[in-house]
Amino acid sequence: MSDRLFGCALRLLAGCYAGLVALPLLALLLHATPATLAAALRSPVVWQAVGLSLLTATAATLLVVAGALPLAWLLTRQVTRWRGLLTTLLELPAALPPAVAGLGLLLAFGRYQLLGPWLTRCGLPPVALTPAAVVLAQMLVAGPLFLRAARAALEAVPPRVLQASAVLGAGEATTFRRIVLPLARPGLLGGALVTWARALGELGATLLFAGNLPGWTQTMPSAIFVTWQVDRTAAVSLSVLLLLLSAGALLLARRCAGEVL
Amino acid sequence: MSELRAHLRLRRGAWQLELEFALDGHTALVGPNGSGKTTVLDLLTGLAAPDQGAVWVAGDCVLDTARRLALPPARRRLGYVFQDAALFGHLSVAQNVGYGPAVGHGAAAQVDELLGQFELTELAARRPLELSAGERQRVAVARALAAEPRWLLLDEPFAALDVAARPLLRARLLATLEVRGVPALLVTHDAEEAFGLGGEVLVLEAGRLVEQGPAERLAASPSSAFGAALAQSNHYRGQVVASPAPGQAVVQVASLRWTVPTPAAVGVPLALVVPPAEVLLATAPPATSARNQVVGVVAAVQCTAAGCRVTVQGAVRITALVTPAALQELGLAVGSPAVALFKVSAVKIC
Repeated sequence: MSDRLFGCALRLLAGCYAGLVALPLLALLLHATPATLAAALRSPVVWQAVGLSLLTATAATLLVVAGALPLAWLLTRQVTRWRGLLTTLLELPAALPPAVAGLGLLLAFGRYQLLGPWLTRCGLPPVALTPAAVVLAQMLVAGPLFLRAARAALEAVPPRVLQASAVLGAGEATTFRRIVLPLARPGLLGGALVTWARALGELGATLLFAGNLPGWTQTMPSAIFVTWQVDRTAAVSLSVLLLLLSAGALLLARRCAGEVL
Repeated sequence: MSELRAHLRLRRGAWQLELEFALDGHTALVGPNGSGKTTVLDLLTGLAAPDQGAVWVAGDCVLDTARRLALPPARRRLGYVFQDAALFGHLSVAQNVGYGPAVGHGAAAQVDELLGQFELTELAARRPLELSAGERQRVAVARALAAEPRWLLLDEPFAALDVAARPLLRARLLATLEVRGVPALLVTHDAEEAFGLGGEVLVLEAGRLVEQGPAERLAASPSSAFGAALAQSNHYRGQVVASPAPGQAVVQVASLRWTVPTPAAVGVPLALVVPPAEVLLATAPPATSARNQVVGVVAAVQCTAAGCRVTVQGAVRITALVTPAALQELGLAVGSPAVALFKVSAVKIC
């Protein structure tokens, strides 16, 4: 194959793929006028869904960071022969169909399932069909994205730099706070924003585990799912809003990673 | 000056490190690549753990595997300058130098003084990425000293520097160490650095100390292959072909046969070192008690304050260290026929 033909083939395939990705997004944006968008945003159902989504996605992201950051650090520091297997297991939910993740959550936390009776004995309310279930579903599906990003960011900190800190008199906690976190911060922030965007768009696991109760567990994606049957304009408006929020998060993530916008 | 004493044993697959030393002043640690020099520094500072061993710094035991004692690196108070500087990229030069005091090691007041001593005051606000290789190493040395270490360990700190910058930083480092009374253990490949440190030289080969002594003695009369290469001494490989007398062997080196002081049996391969100071020069084969000689022509003459190094190319290449007066008396110049001679006792077996 000549270089010219190769260049043409590259551009053609890349253009087809980029078009395939851009076309649905463009269709959404073309379908929504500012007037319909403003009208939809005045609907209480839409606002409740937006509020719940923003709140649960933020809570899920913070909880993921709190748990997955230490986990990523341990996985980076500890060299065990189980590390590969453990990492695969921890990242598996991101590769599973969300419905499978939702079913797993139901079987783990459902009232009469694995942990349900124990939670009841401890006087805790059932988790399924509550906003807590929305957060758990988002954590399970979006968490692996942060874990992967955090591991990459932490592994990029040169070991000699950590050793320099130790020799200069800093303990492990001080080194983590003063050296590791600042050096890994762009990667960690980028990972958190991508996780937040993914949590915001989570649908399958949420529907199965948290249900779709307006004002209680109905997130933006669940609202789009049901509104599409009855009010297409509202569904499109919600979709455009979700699209803009996700795009904003991804652009910010790129900015955090020091990439050109 | 505080003493640094250690005995260490470490096995990694087929490779093994086993050594023991007691240092009480500036020391250069030299050896070929893969001999374990950096590993020794890592073991001393606690960045790696030996299978067996103990380390004392100024009388304090910081590691003793027999007692299951292993202080973490943060509590050993040993400074370490890495080959690649390992600066903190998110901190300014001043914050890098002040890191030790900021985490409780060393006085913050001396940070400005160190920045001045290493000509970093103008660069204090810069980030490491904005610095040259030489500037980065100056920051690394100042940073290590700001934590007030009892010893400063340096892993080829001048390797990334250009030839002109090396002597400047070396001189500045030595002056600062002198003022602060901090002894240094310097890993280097450079003869000038090893001998210029003015203390002991340790030669490490394949995880073992094969030679140890004052720099002057090692420079004049090395007894190991690497020490010889470092001191630009004459080193050869040969094989024993005869045993003419007890404690002596005839060794075939290229087409030459030399008598050397060893009881090694016929067939044994040997590495020999002949210090240039032990080699005599003549214009023709003389009647002498020296048993070993190389007949050839003068290939190079290099005169310095230490004397003239005259290299004779015959069946092998051999360098003699003679005085300028002797050189003039013999009338030797490049291209002149010459004979290099040395006694049996001048040969060192590695």
